[in-house]
Amino acid sequence: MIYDDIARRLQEGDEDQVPRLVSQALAHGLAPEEVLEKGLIAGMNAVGVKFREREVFLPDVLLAAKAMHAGISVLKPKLAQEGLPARGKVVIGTVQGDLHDIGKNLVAIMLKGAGFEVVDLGKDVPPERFAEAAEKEGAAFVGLSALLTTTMPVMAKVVEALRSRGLGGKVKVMVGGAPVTQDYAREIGADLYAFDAASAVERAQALARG
Amino acid sequence: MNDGLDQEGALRTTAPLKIPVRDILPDAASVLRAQGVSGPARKKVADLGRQALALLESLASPAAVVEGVSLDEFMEVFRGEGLNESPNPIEKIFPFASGLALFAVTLGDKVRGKIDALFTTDDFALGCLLDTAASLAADRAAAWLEARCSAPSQRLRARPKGGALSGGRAPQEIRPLRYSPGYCGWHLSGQKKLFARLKPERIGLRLNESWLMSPLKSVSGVIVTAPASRHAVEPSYGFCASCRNRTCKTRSGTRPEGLGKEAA
Ligand code: B12
Ligand code: SF4
Repeated sequence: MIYDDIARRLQEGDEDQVPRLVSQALAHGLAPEEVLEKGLIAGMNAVGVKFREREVFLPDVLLAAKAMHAGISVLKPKLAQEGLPARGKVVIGTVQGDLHDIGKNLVAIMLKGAGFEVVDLGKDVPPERFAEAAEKEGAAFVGLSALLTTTMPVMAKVVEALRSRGLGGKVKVMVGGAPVTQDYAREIGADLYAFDAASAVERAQALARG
Repeated sequence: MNDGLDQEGALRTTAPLKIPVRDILPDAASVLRAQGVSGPARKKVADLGRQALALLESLASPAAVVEGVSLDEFMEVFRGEGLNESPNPIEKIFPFASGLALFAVTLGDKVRGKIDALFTTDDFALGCLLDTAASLAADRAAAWLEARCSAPSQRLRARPKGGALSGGRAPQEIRPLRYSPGYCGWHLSGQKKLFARLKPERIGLRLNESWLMSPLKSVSGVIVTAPASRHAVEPSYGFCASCRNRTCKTRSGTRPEGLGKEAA
C-alpha cells in the first residue's frame, strides 16, 4: 500500500522518495488529507514512538522531518484548495532578550510533524508580537521558549499581553526551556509545560483534544 | 591577535588570543553522543556528523580574552549586581586561589549564520549537529584556556591579597578550573562587571539586556587555580534542584579529551 511506503520511506529520512510517492498517490486520485494523515503523519508518529523507545535518535527524527516537509510541499497546493485539516495553529518563538532557538526549533519541527500548523516568530520576540500574531493567525496555542532565568519573566508578560487582548483562556500558552519548570508555568498562568519536544507534542495533542 | 603562549604553552598575554580551531574541534563520536546517539550511528547520520565538523572547522574563528586579577579585584567582579545566591559554592573556593583569571571565548558569528541557514532549507539534522558541535567547541575553547592557566607555568598568576593558600601544610595538587556567571549561584548579571573589566568587545562579543552574549557560542567566567580538593562541590544548595547541568559532579576530575593533559 502506498501509504505504508510513504510512512516507511519517511522513517528512513528519504527526502527524494517521499515527495515522489506523495505525487504518485495524488496522481492515483487519493485524497490529500488521507495522504497526509495515513502516510506522512503516520510515518512521523512511528518515528516519534521509536525515538521515545530509543530505537532511533534525534538526527534520525530530523531527517524524517525533512522528508516530511518535502512531502508536505507537494501536498500543500492541494491542501490549500481543500482547506487544511484542523489540528490547530501554533505561534511559537523564543522570548525577548533570548537568542537560544535550537530547542524552540525542535519543538516547532515536532509539532509540524504531528500535523499542527506552526507559525515561527523566531528569537528575541517581544510579548506584544506574540499576542498580535496569535490574534491575527487565530492560533490555538502560543509556544514560548526561554533558556535563561533572566528571560523567563518575559513569558509572564506574554500571558498578560494575551489577556489584555481578550485572548486569555482562548489561546493556550505552552512554555519550555532549560530553566522553566511545571511550577513556574503554573505560577505565570501558562496552560502547558513540557520538558522536551516529544512531550510538548503529546501534551499539545492532549490539550487540543480537550 | 597572537597565540599569546610561551614555549611551555602557558598564557603570557592579556591581548586578544586566537585559538587554533583544530585544538578545540570535538570528535564526531562526542557530537553524536551529545545528540543522544548511543551505539553505532547509521551511515547517513555518521556522514552528517562528519559534515557538521567540517563546516565547523571552516566557519569557526575561536578567539579569547583573558586577564589575571587579584583576589580583591575578583571579589568586586563576582559581587556583580548583588544578585548572587548566598551561600554559593564559588565563594567558598576562590579565597583559596593561587591564580584568578577572567576570561571570555567565542567561536565568532559565522557558525550561527550557517545554523540558521540550514534550518531555513529544512536541513534540520545537519543544522542541529552543527549547533551541538559548536556548543561542544565553545566549551572546549574555554577548557583550552583553562589548560593554559595550569601549574606550574602560571603566567597569569595573581597573588591573592590577604589570600589564604595552604600555608604550612603539605603541598597539594593544584589545578585550574573555570566557573561562569549563570552557574552555581553566580547570577547571570555578573556578566556586566565581567565585561566592564575584561572588554571582550575586543573579540567581537556583545552583551544584551538579559546579559546574554552575542555571538551565542561563547563562554565567559573565571579560571580559579586552587588546590584540587577545594574544587570539590557538593550539589546540595537550594538552586541545585533546578540545575540541569550538574557539571560539578564531573568537571573537577576531568577535562575534554586532548585538552590540558599536562595539568591532569
Ligand atoms: C549547550 C549549552 C551552552 C552552549 C551553547 C548554547 C546554545 N544552546 O547554543 C555554550 C557552551 C556556548 C553555552 C554558553 C553559555 N551558557 Co549555556 N547551556 C548549554 C546547555 C548545557 C544546553 C542548552 C542546549 O543547547 N540544549 C539543547 C536544546 C535542544 O535543548 P533546549 O534548548 O533546552 O530545548 C529543549 C527543552 O528545553 C524544550 N523546550 C525548549 N523550548 C521550548 C518551548 C516550548 C513551548 C516547549 C513546550 C518546550 C521547549 O524542548 C527542547 C527540545 O527537547 C544548557 C543547560 C541544559 N542542560 O539545558 C546551558 C545553559 C542554558 N547555559 C547557561 C549559561 C549560564 C551559559 C553562559 C551564560 C555561561 C557563561 N557565563 O559563559 C553562556 C551564555 C552564552 C551566551 N551567548 O551568552 C545556563 C543558563 C542559566 C541561567 N541562569 O539562566 C544553562 C541553563 C546551564 C545552567 N546553569 O543550568 N551554553
Ligand atoms: S548541581 Fe549545578 S548549581 Fe549545584 S553545584 Fe552542581 S553545577 Fe553548581
